[in-house]
Amino acid sequence: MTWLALAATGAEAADDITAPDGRREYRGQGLVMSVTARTPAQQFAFYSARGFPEDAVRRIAQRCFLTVGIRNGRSDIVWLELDEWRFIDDQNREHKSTRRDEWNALWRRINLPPAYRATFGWTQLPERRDLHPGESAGGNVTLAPPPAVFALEARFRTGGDGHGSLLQVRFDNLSCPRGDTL
Amino acid sequence: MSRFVLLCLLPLVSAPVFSAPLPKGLLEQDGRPAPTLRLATMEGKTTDIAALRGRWVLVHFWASWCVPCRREMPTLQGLSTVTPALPIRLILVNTAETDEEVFAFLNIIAPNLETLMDRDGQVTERWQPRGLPASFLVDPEGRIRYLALGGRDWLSPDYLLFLRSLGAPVVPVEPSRGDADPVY
Repeated sequence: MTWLALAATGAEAADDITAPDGRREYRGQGLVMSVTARTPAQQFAFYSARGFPEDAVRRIAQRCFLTVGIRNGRSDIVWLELDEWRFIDDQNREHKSTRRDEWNALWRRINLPPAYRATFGWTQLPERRDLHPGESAGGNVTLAPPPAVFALEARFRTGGDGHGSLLQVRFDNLSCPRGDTL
Repeated sequence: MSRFVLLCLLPLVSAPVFSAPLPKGLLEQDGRPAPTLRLATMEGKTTDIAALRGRWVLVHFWASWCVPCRREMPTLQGLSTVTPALPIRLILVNTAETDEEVFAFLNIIAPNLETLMDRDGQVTERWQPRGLPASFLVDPEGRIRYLALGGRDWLSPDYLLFLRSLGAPVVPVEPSRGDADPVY
């Protein structure tokens, strides 16, 4: 199915309920999915506290970090595949997420020690995962900060072979807080 | 569940059990050989999983920044108090953190536990957990048989029953209609 077709079928929008910490949450179709946009100060605090070199922390804080949690409450497998997610701004422009390969290339360039690369990797959302019934996955999805508000459209294949029903979730009015500069 | 209740429960759990239902959140694996794991604690005490052949080993990967790890760790400490009565050995592996970070965490959350230190995270990479925390159950022949998805309460009765059943004798099963796989 193409994204054009997806637009025709429409994704189920996430609730507008926002937790005090800015977390947005969707519950439906057997999924629980949350998205929290991190501030540069939060990113800086987390990685600095773990001893990351300043250069690495500065580069991290320049990116938009969305902390995503997903729980599969269904009785079949749900496929988490970042290739099936889109970030669309209010001008209908698509913004690509930054993939592990790109981060790893950056870490190689600045000679980030292996322990920090490992920690950074484990704090990222898996790019592909078959979520079994009851299984959760969590971590950050990163992208260059879009200029304004944007939406996350996520779709999930289901079933062991991925040929089950297609789940679609949309988070509108997301933004990457850039106000609390370091 | 208090430790007292747990200890009272153990004799019941210790009764011969030939098969226990797979607890929720535990995924059967294909029996691939466990990757090498030879690491030291903060004090320099080394453990090599190859030397633990002949018994089940629960290998748990964790990090202090991981929220589910914080919730699960006290239950692992509780499990460590009953493992002498269970047919398993518990191994903790911290992923890519420093002595200071690990000490500060364990000292508060689970002061009786020791952890191996995967200082550069490379051992964790070899084991390819699905995330942190992650727990693998390795059989006496050194093969990965089960993977625990995310965190859980290791002291829950269904998990204790299952862990106890790992030491049960093999029950001969008559193959029927092609179901010829050996059953533990």
